[in-house]
Formats: sequence, structure tokens, C-alpha cells
Amino acid sequence: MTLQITDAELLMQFRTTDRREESYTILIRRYQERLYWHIRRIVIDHDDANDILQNVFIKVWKSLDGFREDSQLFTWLYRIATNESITFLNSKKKRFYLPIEDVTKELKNKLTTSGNFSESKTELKLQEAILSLPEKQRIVFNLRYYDEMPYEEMSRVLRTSEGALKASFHHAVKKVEKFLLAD
Amino acid sequence: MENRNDILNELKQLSPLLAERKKENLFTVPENYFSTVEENVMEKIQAESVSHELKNSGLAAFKKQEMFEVPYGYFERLPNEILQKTSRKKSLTILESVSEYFQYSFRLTHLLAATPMLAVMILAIVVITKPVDEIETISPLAQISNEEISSYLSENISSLDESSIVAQMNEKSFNNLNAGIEVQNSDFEESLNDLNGITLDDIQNL
Repeated sequence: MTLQITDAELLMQFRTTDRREESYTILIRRYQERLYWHIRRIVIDHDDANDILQNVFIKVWKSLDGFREDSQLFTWLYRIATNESITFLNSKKKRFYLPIEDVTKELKNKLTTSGNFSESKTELKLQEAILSLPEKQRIVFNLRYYDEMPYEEMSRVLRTSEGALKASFHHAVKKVEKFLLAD
Repeated sequence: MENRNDILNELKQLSPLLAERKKENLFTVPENYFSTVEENVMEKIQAESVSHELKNSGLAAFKKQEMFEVPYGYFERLPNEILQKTSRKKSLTILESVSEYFQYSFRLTHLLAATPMLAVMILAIVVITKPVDEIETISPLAQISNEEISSYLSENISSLDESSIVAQMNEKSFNNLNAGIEVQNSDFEESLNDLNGITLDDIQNL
């Protein structure tokens, strides 16, 4: 079995053969990096991102039999990863009774204090600008800017209208630009 | 659906600064991280499926029943019994506290002082509990056979006179001597006749 197999074929193999684990390993290899970076840009910390990524794949394993293929597998995986990341941040707020500003502050601190970050100052500045955005706007910006995701697909991931997403992205870009030009 | 160029063009219109900027990745991951993800995920999935199987196994479905029984009304009486015991114990608590304090304070010094005494006691217990036939301090007389005693008496009987034997005896010894012996009047008469021809009537008339 090679990585050239399509998502639809992979799903069929997963559901109908006794090579479920083999099929699923291919699925993980295929999507782990894109999902990881998406999660990492939301939660910033590597260990948190790793935990969430593993949880995502465990959830997908449990519910892949019931996946109805209304959307692409990739879109479905992104939706689960986004929801898991948001749930993680919300649980952090609840657990430590933190307002959203403090979570953002903590994420900004992680940018500079924890390991697994490059030393690019311009990129650090951009990340600080992105972290100053509201949570939903931040996710929209990341999906559009880094993942270059079409609004139509983003609409399925975030369950939000294309128009609202477009407006959100426009606002986000202006805020980020303003932040970068502030110095 | 939009393609990559559409997306870049939109960004150029919105912010030339961002559009021209080279995209770098600030974040890094530990070395070989992505080669370990699938293994870690599959391990967790297998662990979860084992636990799921256990939950759904016949063992989990087996109705738990208590096989032991308690006396009738046990649990109704239990609170009162506990209360009685605890209230009795309360009155002793202060005394016990003081006692415990002293016990604790002197425990070490007493332990050192008591060590030789403890050794003697242990030795005594060992000796006392040892079976009788193993004890070396058995009476020497018990070790002499009846034949040896008879032989000794026959050889040394000449050196024993009645007065010295009587001197060694007390009332208890006489009683022991007479125990179990029934003496009839005829026995006395026979004995007196053997001595000097004296009859029992002679003695009674004295």
C-alpha cells in the first residue's frame, strides 16, 4: 500500500478490510503535519499541540466509520482539530479562571520563553500581531494566510458563512499590518 | 473554488506589506517528532480498545452479588456500638495522651537500660519453655536406679540406727509413712507377743 492511494480508497480500506491499522497509519502520515501546524498556531506550545493532535487522531479513529463524506476528509479533520484546539483554550480559561486577555498574554509569553521556536525577530513580531487578534479572527487569518485555504472550504471547517469569513479576514489583515507598522 | 493565485491577489490588495513578506515558520518541533506521531497514536488507540473490550466483556456485565452475610440487624446496631465504644474511649483519651507522651519520651533511654534485663528474660523464657527431659538440671536422685539405691542401703545399713532415722523424720513424714497402711488390733498383738510376750490387754490395763 502506498501513500498515492486517494482518501476515498483509504476510507474504503479502513472500513472494509482487516487492515484498518495500516490504512489509518497512512492517514496519519498524510495529514499529521498540516494538522499539527494548524493546532500549533492556535495553542502556540508544542506539548499542548502534540496532546491535541493525538487526541484528534484518536477521535477520528473512533468516528471514521460514521464519517458520511459530505465534505472532504481533509476538511473534516481540520474541523475536528480546530474544535479540539478551541476546547483546549476554553478549558484553560475555565480551569484557571482566566479572562481571554490573560490567555493571550500567556500565549505571547510562550512565544519568547518556551523552547521550540526559531529566533526570527520579524516572524516573532508577526506572531505577536496575530496573537493580538480575537480568537476566531486569529484562526481565520491563519487558515487564509498560512494554509491558503479558500473561503468555501474554510466555511465548512468553521461552519461560518463565506461573507463573514471574508470580512473577518479583511479586519484581521488590517490589524496585523497596523501592529507591524506601529514601531 | 479559489486557487492559490486568487488568495495571493486578495492579500496584495489588502496589504502589500504582508503579501510581499516571506513566510517563515517561527515554530519548530523536536527532532524526528513527526516520525513518532503515528506510533504514539496507534499505541493509545490500542490501549483504549483494550479497555473498551474489558468494559464490554462478560465480566463487566456480570452482576455483582455479595456472597457474605451479616447477622440480622447488624447494620442497624453498628452506629450505636461504634458510638458507645468511642464515648468510652473519649474518657480515656487524656490519660492515654499523657501516658503516650511519657512512653515516647523515655522510650529510648528505657530501651537502652532494659536491654540486659531483656536478654535475661528471653533466656529464662527459653529455659522455662524447654521440655523437661531436655533440661540438664534434673534432680540427680532421679537419675539413680532402684538397684543402685538397694545396693547402697544394704552396704551401709549398719551405720543407720533407729534414733537417727527418727530424728530425720517429722510428723508429715510419719503420716506419709502410714499412708495406705491399715493396721488391725491382731497385728499389734502379734507384734507385742513377738517382742516380750506382752498382750494387748496388758497395755490397755496400764
